[in-house]
Amino acid sequence: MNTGQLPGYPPTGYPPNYGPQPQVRSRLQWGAYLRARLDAGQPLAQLLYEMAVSGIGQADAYALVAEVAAAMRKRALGFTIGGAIAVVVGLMVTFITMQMAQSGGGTYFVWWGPVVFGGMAAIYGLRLLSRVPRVP
Amino acid sequence: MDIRGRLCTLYPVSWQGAVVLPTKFDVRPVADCFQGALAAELAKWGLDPRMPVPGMPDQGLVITAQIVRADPGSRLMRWLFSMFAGAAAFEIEGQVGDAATPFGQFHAEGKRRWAYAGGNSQALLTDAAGQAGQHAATQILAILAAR
Repeated sequence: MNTGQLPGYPPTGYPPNYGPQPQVRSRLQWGAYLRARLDAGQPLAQLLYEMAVSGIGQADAYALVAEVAAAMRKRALGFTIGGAIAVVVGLMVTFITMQMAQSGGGTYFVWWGPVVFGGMAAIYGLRLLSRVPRVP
Repeated sequence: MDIRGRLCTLYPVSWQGAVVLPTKFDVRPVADCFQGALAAELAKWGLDPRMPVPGMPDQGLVITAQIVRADPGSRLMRWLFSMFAGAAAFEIEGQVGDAATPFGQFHAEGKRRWAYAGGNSQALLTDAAGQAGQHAATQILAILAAR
């Protein structure tokens, strides 16, 4: 029987099963989710869209993102600044003891540990910092 | 408030909405470890935790919990910056109340950062879940004591 409609139309099961589905999450769970996804490099716009689909109001969504961004920034700055301090301290100890050894003789320390690991921490912190979203 | 011998219905921890970061192992035993630690800690303080019976009303106190985050961390990061990054973390939130209405909320987190050469993520996450269970029990007891 021809009903004048294309087969499969109208589609059943709307909304379609592609794209973000509504999620039931508590505020803490949304915070943890945002942080995990932002750390993994997912764009903020996509996450805001997911939150909107799940029925979270714009003001709440931005407040949550701002909270998560502040925590991410604090952590990233901790690594960057801590790493940089370790590098400076490592270099200072190395050069000061080297100067002392050159002027008065004796041994000096090449304190490479803080320089290498501090440098790695600083680079890791910069990478984290690059993923902190700018909240409009 | 005397809690010794008081019945308590302890619901299995829920995974709904939980953020589970990619793992190479089954995370269900981790939740069992949390549940076991919570029940053991509550029992140690004199409560009588029991599983809910389908079709029967809840008895005594009612405790529900849901997982917020189960993160196995990163072995490489633990090895490089052991105290600062790559920690295995297990975070939960929940409610405590009676059969009619909840009267308190708790939020607990267990973290394991240190293990030789970065350690085993599964073992560390399981330990973190046990620690979260103990912290949750402490908070539940504080809620009951405050009533």
